[in-house]
Amino acid sequence: MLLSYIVKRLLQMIPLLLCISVIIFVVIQLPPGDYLTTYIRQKESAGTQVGADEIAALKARYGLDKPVYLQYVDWIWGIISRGDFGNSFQWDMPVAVKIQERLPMTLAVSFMTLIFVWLVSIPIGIYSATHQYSVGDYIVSGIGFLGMSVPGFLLAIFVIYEVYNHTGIAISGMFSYEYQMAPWSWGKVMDMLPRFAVLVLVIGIANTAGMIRTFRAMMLDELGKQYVTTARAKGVGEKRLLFKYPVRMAIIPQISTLAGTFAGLVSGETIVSKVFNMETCGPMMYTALITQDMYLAGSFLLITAVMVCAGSLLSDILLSLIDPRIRFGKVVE
Amino acid sequence: MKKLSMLLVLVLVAALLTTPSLAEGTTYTQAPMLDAKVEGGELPPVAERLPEEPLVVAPGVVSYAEYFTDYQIGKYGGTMKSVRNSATWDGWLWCILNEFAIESVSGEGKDFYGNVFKDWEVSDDFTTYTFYLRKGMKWSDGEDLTTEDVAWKFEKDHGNEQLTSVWPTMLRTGNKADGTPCTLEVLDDYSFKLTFDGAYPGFILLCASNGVYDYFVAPAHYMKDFHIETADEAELTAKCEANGYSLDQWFSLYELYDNTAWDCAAANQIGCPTLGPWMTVSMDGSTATFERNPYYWKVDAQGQQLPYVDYMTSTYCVDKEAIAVKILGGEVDYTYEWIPLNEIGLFAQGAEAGKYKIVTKTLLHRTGADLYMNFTYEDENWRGVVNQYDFRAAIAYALDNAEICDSVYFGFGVPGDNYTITEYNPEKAGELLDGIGMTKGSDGWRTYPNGEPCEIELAYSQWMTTYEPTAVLVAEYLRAIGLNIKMKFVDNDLMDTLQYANDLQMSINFSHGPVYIQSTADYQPYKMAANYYYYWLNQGATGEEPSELLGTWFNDYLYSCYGVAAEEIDATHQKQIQFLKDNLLAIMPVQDIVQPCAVANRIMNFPTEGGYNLDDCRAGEDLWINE
Repeated sequence: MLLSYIVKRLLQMIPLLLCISVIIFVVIQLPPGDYLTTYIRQKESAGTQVGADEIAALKARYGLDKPVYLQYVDWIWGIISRGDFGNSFQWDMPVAVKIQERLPMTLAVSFMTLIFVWLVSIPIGIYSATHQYSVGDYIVSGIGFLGMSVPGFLLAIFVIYEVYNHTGIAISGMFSYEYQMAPWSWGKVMDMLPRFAVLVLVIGIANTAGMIRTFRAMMLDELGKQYVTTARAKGVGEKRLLFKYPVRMAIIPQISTLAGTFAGLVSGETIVSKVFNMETCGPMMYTALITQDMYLAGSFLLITAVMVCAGSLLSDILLSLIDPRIRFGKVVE
Repeated sequence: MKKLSMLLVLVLVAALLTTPSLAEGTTYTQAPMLDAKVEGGELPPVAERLPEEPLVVAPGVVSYAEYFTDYQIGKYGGTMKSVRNSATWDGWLWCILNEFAIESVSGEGKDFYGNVFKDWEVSDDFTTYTFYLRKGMKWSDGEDLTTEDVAWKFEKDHGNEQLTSVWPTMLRTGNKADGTPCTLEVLDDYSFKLTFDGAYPGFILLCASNGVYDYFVAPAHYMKDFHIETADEAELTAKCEANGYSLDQWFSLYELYDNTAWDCAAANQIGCPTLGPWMTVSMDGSTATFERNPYYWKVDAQGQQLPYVDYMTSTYCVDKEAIAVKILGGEVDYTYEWIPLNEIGLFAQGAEAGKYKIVTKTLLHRTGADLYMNFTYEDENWRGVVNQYDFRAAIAYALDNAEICDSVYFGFGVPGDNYTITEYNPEKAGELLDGIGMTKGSDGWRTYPNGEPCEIELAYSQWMTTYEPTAVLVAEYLRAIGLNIKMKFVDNDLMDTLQYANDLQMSINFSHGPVYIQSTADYQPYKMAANYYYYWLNQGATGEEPSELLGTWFNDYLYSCYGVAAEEIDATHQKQIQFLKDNLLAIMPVQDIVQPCAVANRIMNFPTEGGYNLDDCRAGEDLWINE
């Protein structure tokens, strides 16, 4: 039954993604101008003139003279038929190559951030709910509010400044110059680790703070419910009581928002990564949008859309596994 | 017509500047990193790799001797680090990797010397130019550079309509869009002649300012495998398909693998023979790496083959702030134009930790932040006033140029006396506006002469750090004389699009023409009057017929420096500027501005004492690392 449900959901995703891809393509084309203009201005800034005729010729060459719907059809057919996402104007390279370069590091950062957030916020959330209005709860909540209200990019700038001031190391990029192009080695990993950790920390901090708050609220809700009192009256141990029911309930909102979390895996760290000049997908997508490198930008957006769909499917499946009310809902009727 | 040239006495203008030659019996030496390759038979000995007469680089050749404090014969080795903010284009590398056909010392457009071309002759009517290649000079893969490569470029590349839709303006008589393309005559393996159908005295200047070698030569032996006329069809089809093209799109493939100036950090440059000091060897994520060209054709005064430095790298950064962090961290050897004036204090503070020094040159090849008033903006009321001199003069009188110098340029500049009215006189500005009927209405704002409300948009971007503060001040000054200015922020990348489309009324932007003798045609007229300019450029096919004033500017002034002999260029440029000032075609509030840059302490032979900033970039081959 679950399998047929998944297949049905997967089939529903096809028209949905097609619609999204059309919207993406249209939106990317909305602002006036295109990539060529940037290219031309670069030429000019170094003192070369570009005639109107030459501009027209360049347009024809990049296919920008075709109507938008034909550009779209070419693009989407390339993706479906042969996994070709088109060429990046900026890099003069296939989009697929650029995405492959950055995706592994991006996913590593995002998953580490996710794990960091969960590992930190769930225990703290449980602690502050079970010790409501204690000194510890106030301290944790205070830090949490601070974390929520300080924007990540500001924290990033602050971190760069402090690290530079105290160590002379300027965090810009995932590796220092010496290891930038070196093949993977122990030295390279050690060079990367502090930068990686700083990135994960800065991105994760706001989410952690937010999650502590929701977790605490959910827990408090549950802890006051009758089944908890009943269980306690029947002599269920405190630990077992806590983890068997209220914690499970408190996790539900996190799972039901997996769709958003998944989208964030690809592009959630954009601004912070941009400040740190990290070689992840976010800054590249940002630049692609700004310079109207339409196939690169479109492909990132499309991948994000796929992630959202996959995330919402996954969250539905997980919810039915974790929450018996959803699983048995139909059976009871 | 052609017979005429036979009658002409050919005048040897050649090498106004004589480049030094080596002492008798000097033996050539090479970088240690190449020794193993020579011993292993992979490379011929250095003497065989150099041309018969290599260019000898010493103070006074690439840059004037007085611009150096401590020029030394260098030591081999090391890696120079550059940064870029564009995926495939690095300003510093672009300057370094591009060899020009002819060069002028320090890029100042005066003392010319043979670079890729050893020598040249000009007929006394300035219609025929004969160029001589260096015998024995080689591409970076060891193949000879001969006139076969010239013929290839002119016939198979410029001459192929699919590859080159418009014959380059520089190779047309007078550098004019409507000029007749020149004709090529190959004389022997090492000399060729270009003939124009009219006098073109500025051609040498253009060769030095614009004449990157790829205008004249391409490695025929390499490119023939990418050209529809010469390549094996099956192989070309396979290559096209491997790159996602069909055979009838072969020209895209050709362009992809052609070593053109603009893609200096692009992956497809790997393997394409070059004449530059370094060649692209890898493109790894954000970092492009360049390795010395073992066949480079320049030596130092002791016969050491250049360049001194083994490798160069260029690292892509997402924005200018990220670059700033890298500079502070000491990860950049030369900062090009990345340091904003308003942050100079920060960079000065970080100099010791970042192991660099701040260098401030006296000349800049571009203007700062100019005010353009679009003569052809689509608004009849606006056109009615902007085409009157008094309106433009009123704007000039309204600007407090001295204050702009102080608060935008922090004193690194003076009021633009060469280009505009520098007198600050708001009363007079008001009188001039009253005089053309732009009187104040009941709300305190001036109206158009016909009484309709006047609201003027002033567009600016953040492309240079001086734009925004200049725009703010200009808006304040103009509001003070009763003009209702609406400021409009435009994204950097959108600015030119709107300007090309004639969509901006007033804007803040820059040009090269007023200050850079090597780019005297570059006043960016599409910012002044887009529609008039298009009409003139395309001979009436698009745009609108220019007003008398702009017509005179286009016809008699814009390209005038290319129509006169070298010794008259300065005077002609002065006339150009005077016309600009007399008519206030655009307003340049500040002149003599500077662009500070940072150079790593370890980099030697850097010209720090004067000249253009661009000069810093041109001489990459004789820089060396002292560590």
